[in-house]
Amino acid sequence: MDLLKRIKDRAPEYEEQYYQLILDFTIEQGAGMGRAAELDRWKQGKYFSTRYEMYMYAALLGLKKDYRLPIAKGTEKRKFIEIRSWTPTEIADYVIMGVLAKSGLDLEELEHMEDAEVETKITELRALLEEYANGGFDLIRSKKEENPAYFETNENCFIDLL
Amino acid sequence: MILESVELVNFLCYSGDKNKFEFKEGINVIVGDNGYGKSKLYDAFYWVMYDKIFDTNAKSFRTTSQIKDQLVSDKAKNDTDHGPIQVSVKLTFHDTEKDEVYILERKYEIRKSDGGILSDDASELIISHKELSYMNARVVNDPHKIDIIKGKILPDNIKPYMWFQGEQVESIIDFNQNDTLTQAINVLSNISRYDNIITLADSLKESGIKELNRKKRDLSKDLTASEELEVRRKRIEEKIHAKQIQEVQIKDNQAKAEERSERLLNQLSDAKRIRELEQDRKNIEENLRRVREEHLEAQIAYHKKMFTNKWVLKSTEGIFDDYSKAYDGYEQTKLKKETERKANLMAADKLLKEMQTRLPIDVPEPIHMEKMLEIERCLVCDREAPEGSEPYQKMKEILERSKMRAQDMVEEDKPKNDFSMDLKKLYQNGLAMSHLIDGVDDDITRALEQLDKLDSRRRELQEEYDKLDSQVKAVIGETAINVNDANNLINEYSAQNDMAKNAIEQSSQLKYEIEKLESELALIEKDLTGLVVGELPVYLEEKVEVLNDFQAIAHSTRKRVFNRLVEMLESEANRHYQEMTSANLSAKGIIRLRELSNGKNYMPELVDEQGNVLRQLNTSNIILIKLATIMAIVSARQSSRDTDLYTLITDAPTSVFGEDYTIGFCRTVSKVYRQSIIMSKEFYKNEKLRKELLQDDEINLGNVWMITPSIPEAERTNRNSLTTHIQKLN
Amino acid sequence: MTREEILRSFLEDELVEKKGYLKKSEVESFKWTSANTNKLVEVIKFAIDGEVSNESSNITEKRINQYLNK
Repeated sequence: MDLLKRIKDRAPEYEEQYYQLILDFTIEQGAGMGRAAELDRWKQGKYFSTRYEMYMYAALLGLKKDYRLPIAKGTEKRKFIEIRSWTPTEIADYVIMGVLAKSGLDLEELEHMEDAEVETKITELRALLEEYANGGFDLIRSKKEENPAYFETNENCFIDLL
Repeated sequence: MILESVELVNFLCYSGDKNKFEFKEGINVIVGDNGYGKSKLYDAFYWVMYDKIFDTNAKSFRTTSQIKDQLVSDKAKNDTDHGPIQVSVKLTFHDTEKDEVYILERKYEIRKSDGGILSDDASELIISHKELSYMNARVVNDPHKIDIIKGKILPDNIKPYMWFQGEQVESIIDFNQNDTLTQAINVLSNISRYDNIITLADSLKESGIKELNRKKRDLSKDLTASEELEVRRKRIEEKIHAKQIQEVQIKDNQAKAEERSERLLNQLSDAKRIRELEQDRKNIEENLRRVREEHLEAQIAYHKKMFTNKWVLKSTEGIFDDYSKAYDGYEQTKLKKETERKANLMAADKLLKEMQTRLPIDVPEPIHMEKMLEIERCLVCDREAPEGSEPYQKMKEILERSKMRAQDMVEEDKPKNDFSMDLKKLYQNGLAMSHLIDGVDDDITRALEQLDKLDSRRRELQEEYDKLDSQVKAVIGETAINVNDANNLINEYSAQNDMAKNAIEQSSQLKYEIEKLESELALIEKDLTGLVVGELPVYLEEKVEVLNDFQAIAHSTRKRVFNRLVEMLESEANRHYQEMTSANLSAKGIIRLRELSNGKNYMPELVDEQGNVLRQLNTSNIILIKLATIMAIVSARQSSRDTDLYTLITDAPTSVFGEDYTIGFCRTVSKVYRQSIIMSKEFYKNEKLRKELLQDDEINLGNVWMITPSIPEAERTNRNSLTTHIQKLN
Repeated sequence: MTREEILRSFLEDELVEKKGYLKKSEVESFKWTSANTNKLVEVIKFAIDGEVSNESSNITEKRINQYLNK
């Protein structure tokens, strides 16, 4: 059985509190494609086309800064699209790779595990991804709180933040 | 005459009765921005003298009976519920030579009652005369005396050159209108005396010749022949006269056509310039549109590049390093385990091979071996082999050996899953990404540079566009030609040009015809003289000769004197022009007054040192030439009549040319005019210029006043409290 | 302009010298009261006098004719 496919079948979650933050920088779903939509996106100050783009961004930010933030039990969460639909695939794979590396999981041992055990590990990996993304979102949130104009006046904001 | 003061009561924006300006000799300046009340002050002077004010919207003068209560300050109207409101403007002139004072006060009244306004139809002018040695002023009632006083203040014929508004400068000397400059020369000189003498000389000559002819007929030997010749002469003379009239008309037409084609020529170059500018503007507009588009695309792409160019992975090399270590460990472990497994396999294999050295596999056949084990006896060597004994075990081994493989002998530790392909895929992807990450910073820098480049290009083009746009608008505004008119202009220009050429041909044809008729006339004259018997009286022949010469001299003298006046005017105009333009090095040229082909009028034009006409003058040049010519008319007049001194009052004469001419203009004005009152916004806007005015040694400065409205113009929807603050600056 | 100045402006005319009425040197120093028997100069003086004193042109014409008819 494929490891990657099984990981990608998962749909990660994020804390409810970041829903608005994501909306702030992402166009509404179904805004359409094409030049007009892109122009509109840019004019609205939306830096991301999709939520998963922003999610990947947050995860990478967390991974890079090695800042993960476990989501406390009982926190209201939002689910969204499964990783297999994320594009570009290279970036999604890179994120998975990062999470895998950070997990410290013995990959060789993983191969020896029973299916049920592997599933447990994959669930743990998903949780870890969520923690890093959560860390990333926390970094974005605090930056915005600290300097609300940061994301309004600086075209480079998200690149500079990396 | 010196204008000592003006006092305004409730006149337009000058509400209340505390509005007084005092003036001295030299240049007096009223400083204020647009809409501050400068033109209203000019209106006040004009109103007192002529009972009307200039309506800038209608571009015409309106009388008190047309304006009525609009003359009254809004504040005064608002503050009064019931009763009369008086409007008045009082001018005090001082004749310094005779030490006499003239006070001209114009009054107007409206009455307010229950919200309604009753307006007088007419205003009233009260002129008082006061000799300073006496204290009391006397009101002047005699209309004749009033006319004399008004003439002393400003004679009608020089009014256009003394009291004018900036926007009127163009029309005071309208170069394209017939004989304006000639009229100006008539005003300033006594050339009309020469004209009168010409009339006298013409008439004298004519009657002298008539007298001579009568005498010749009296002395004729053949009266019939003489009479016949007389008739012929008369007919030819009439013909000549008619042709001369025709010639004058043709020359008039020629001059007009020349003037017109000259003006069109100037317009042609303007139109060409507009067209070129317009083309440039369009090109830049298109470029600008493209660059804007490109810039926008680049900006949009810039954000997308976070994912398309993987900028989002910026400085995440560490992540790959971590994975790479983990993956390496995984591979190492796998490799180690594989190696171990292979080694075990080899060992088992060896063992099997060893066993093979004793007996080949399946020898004896398993069926026999099973029989031997059953009977517990080796049938090969025929010996006892009880169960559990060594020979029994050996036999059992041989039987099992045939079923054994080396793999089976090695202890099995096979993984339940193989993720190696996936893990390898992640590694390879990470490796590929890590190469990209190396270039991300440079890529971002390049993209930013590209954005900056496009943005600065966009800015440049925008600036260029704005510049061209305002140039096009300025030229269109100056010339009132739009691009579409250009072709019509070309047609009309060639039509006028042809007309002028035709006129030249026609007039030379006429000249030839007249000459022919004149020689016919001379023959008749000769025949008539031939018929005379006896002597003509000596005095008569002498008289006719003297009158002939007198007539010729009268004509040529008038022409000589007039040309001298034109020359003087020209040099005066140049003196003023050079002085006014001295601060601006780019202003070049000499004013020349060119005589038109009909000999009736002169056109000022700007020429270079070689005498080549400078074309494509801008508005500043044209206005300066006109102002210089106006000043020349005044200054040339002054040099011939010292006592003729009037006050120049002009509103915004400087607004049409650049600020660098303003000081030069003031210097020149303060030299040409004994007293002048100039309204200007330049000194309001430019403080440096104002300082210069107050400190310039070459300017004979009178009083400088600053006026400010109580409500800024932008907020003046309600003028009910509008007053004007008057402040002296020196 | 004085009468004398106006007179001189006429006498400056090249025809005056050409026809031998006056020499150039005479013109430059010519005064209104300068004695002369020159009929042209007298005619011009009559004309100027009449013009400056605002005389009716018919009267001036008559004066000149009377002068020349002698």
